Amino acid sequence: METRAKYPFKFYTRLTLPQLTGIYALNLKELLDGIKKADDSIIYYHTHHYLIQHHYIVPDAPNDFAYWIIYTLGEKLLGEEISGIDMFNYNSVADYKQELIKRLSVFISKKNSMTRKVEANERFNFMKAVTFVMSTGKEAYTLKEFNDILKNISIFSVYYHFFESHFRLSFGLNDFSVWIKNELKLPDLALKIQSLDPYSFTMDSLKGQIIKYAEKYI
Amino acid sequence: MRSIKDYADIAGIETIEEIEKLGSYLNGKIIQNINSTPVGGGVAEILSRMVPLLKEVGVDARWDFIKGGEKFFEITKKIHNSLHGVEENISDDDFKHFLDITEENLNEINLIGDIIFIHDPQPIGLIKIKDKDGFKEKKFIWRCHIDLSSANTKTFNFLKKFIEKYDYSVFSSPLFAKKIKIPQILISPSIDPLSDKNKDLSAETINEVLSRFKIDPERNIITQVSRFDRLKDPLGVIDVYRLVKKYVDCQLVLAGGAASDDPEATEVYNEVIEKAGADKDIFILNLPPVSNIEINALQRASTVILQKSIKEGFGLTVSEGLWKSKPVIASAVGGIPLQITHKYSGLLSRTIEGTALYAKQILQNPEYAKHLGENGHNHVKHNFLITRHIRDYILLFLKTGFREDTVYL
Repeated sequence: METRAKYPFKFYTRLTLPQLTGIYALNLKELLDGIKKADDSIIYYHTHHYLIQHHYIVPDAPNDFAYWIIYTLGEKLLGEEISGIDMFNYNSVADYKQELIKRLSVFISKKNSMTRKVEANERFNFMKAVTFVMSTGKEAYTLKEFNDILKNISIFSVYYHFFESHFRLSFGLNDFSVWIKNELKLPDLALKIQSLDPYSFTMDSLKGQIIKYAEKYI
Repeated sequence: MRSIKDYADIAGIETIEEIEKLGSYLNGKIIQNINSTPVGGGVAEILSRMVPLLKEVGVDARWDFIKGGEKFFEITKKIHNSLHGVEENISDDDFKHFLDITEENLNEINLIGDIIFIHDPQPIGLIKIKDKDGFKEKKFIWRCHIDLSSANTKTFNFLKKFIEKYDYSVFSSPLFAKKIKIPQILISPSIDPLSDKNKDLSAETINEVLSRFKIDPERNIITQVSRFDRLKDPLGVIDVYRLVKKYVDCQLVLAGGAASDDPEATEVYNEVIEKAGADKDIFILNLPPVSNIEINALQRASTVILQKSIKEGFGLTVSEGLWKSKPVIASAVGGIPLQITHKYSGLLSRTIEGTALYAKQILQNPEYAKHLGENGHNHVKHNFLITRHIRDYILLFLKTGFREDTVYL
């Protein structure tokens, strides 16, 4: 018999409005200085907006810093290193930022500042986002209801429950797995979803994979 | 009149539901758009589509415009050009006339909005009313549709006194913005996928347009759609075509307008005609402004689309090409890099030779062309359609009611 949750899964969605900070970088040193001064919202924006804006492809540079370092500065080695830092290994944006600062500092000191300076139209613009969180009004009590809603929900909702939860919950979990484990008592399915590396999927394929996993338990 | 629901097949029903839900949070608020003209120009075109759709999702959007007169609009045109970096002689008398007309408009216009959304420099001075009783609680937003990155300092400083009194400013690209004291929001422009310029066309319509212009549908077609303007580099496009044609058979279509009251456009058009010479594979089409179906058909029939601009605003013709799943090669200027990620959703070039190299690669690798076109279509679908634009405007209006960076609705 199908398990019915005591508390439903309430689908929220997260929408953003990008905001310019007026701070920009023309070379690696200025990028490092900008990162040092940047608050969490700026770091978060540049490590995540790419996933939403290009959610139909798996970009080889999964964040703005790496993309700019590779394609504008032409520092492919450093860019690959920055691309490879696994956000999910860090419990906070601040921790990730420290790792970023460490790697950039080491590279700059080795290069003795011999890195490229770009033209104004190629500059790195530090930005952040105003975030809006809104209920979709959709809720599920069973795994089937959950999957049916997921099939027709926007990727912004998937993003909220999968990516943002990692930092909101502070211990590396996502909302889907927490609810499936606690309410539906399906720890195996929760773990499978938990184990997905969201940074190596497109948003659409991540959503598809969760639906596929869940279908086997319905 | 199109309904917001008509966009569900393209943007997804979930997107339309989100917009409708967001719109409901603005219930009771009046959003008053103000610009300088009800017809003509990009701002009027956007507002004419946007305002009815906002109303449909429950946002009480209004649209008014200021009055000017010939002298005022001559001055605002000089201001516009000067903000784009063009040398203009704007006298103190000109600035005074601008302020006088602003006062006249302040006496005449009824600023009834809870949120007053001012577009571009012409009505910027209306912000002076903010200090008066009854207006302090209203929110004022200035939407800049212009690239300010190379703005004349004197002209910008004249406007800056007004800009910094607004609650928010809005720019189309990070590169267009200036350092100012008020929050700067980034909202890109958009294309309307259901407009005549972008809607799906039947093969018969496309072929009829090609046949009317005597373009061979069986051979490669390289197209650039833009005004006959030196900044769009139509002469450079002919150079590109000639470099390509040495190796791959192709035709070139340069489609645009050359308004009779713009002497430079006519001059450039004549230079293009002269440079094309007797080449029967170059089609220079001087089209009237209403030729949206023709432009649409030419883009859809193209094998490669170019936008070889030397300087560009946002360059929405790039999104138009990408929306039609075409491989687009465009200069890395203005807002174009926001629309094209190099080698994912199109190709960014900087020179005639580079553009020609990419064009040859595309013409000789149809699979590569298809891949770029598909990614480009998806990128536009998720980032540059009118539905995203409406959503961003509603979020902006909502933001005026909150101080926090994270808003729980």
